[in-house]
Amino acid sequence: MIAICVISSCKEAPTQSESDDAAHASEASSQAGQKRIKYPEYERATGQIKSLLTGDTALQVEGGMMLITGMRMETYKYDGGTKKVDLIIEAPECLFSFRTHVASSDGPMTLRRADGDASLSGRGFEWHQRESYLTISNNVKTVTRKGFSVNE
Amino acid sequence: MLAVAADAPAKAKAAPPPKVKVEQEGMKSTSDSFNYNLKKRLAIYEGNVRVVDSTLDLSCDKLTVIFMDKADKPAPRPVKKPPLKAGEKVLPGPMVGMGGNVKMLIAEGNVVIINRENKSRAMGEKAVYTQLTEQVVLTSKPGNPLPKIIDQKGGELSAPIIIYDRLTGNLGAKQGVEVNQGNPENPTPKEVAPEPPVRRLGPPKK
Repeated sequence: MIAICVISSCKEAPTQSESDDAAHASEASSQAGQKRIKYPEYERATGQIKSLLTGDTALQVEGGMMLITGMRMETYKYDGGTKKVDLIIEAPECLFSFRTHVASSDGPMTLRRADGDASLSGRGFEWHQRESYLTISNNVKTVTRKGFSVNE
Repeated sequence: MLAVAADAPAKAKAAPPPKVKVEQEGMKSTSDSFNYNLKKRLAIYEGNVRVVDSTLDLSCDKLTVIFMDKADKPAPRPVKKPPLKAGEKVLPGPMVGMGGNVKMLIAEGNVVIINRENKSRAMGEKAVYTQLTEQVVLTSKPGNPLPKIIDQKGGELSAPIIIYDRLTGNLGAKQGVEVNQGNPENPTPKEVAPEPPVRRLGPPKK
């Protein structure tokens, strides 16, 4: 997958490949506490964005991790050429690894479909951005009319 | 699940045909943990899983939900449904209110399914719902107690394999069926063996 880190304070739209993630991490480190972070994940075959991680603030911590507050993750589905938001994952804060592209937290989180047909909450999660894989560890509560399938 | 409500006409003289409103009601579930693989279209609930909707109450240790892929086609209905009449009961919708996008549900470990309408209860080690056939197949591991269904009158049906057809409401059993009719004045409705061999053991045990 191709991953690009975009920080709002950056003036240029970066187009680096995954191998440049560490550079982005160090860039974020030198701008600790900066506002907003955007971290999209693209499908290599199609070049289409498949998910986007954003945060209100990002702070580099040990182990090449970023502490993100106001975390929001969107996954996308495509109807023909039209991109639509499918799932939205939100958490007050989480850690994100540029190396593994895994967001995790031991705190509360919510997951909902953008169309409002399903929502889920729990405590403690791991989101594997490359694999589009979510684990919620505790107290999972789901309310749904249509489930979480990306297909209608 | 689906619910039907007939709106009464406001005035007698207008006499419009009663509207049949079909609403998709919600489903709620709780569990200890949850895994969701978007690529594989697979969700797994584990630990004290409980699913409640308007028609059933399911509890188990692990529930695997396999969602339909784009290549999957909706299941063909075996019987063409006639137009609904006011007050007529609607056939059950897709399992546990998932809106028709569930391909298969696999409930494992201490499975208990309670029909909220008639309070009948099904128990087993494993229950598999397949959207293609609209059937729920209840089984148990060898050596464990057989899966069984207990109706509201206390009648019991147990067999190594119990099959519930959600479209017809028929209940089937395979391989050595034991039937305890509970209250003989109100026998268990619709106990149908879909395939031989089926062995009926006769009167209830005491």
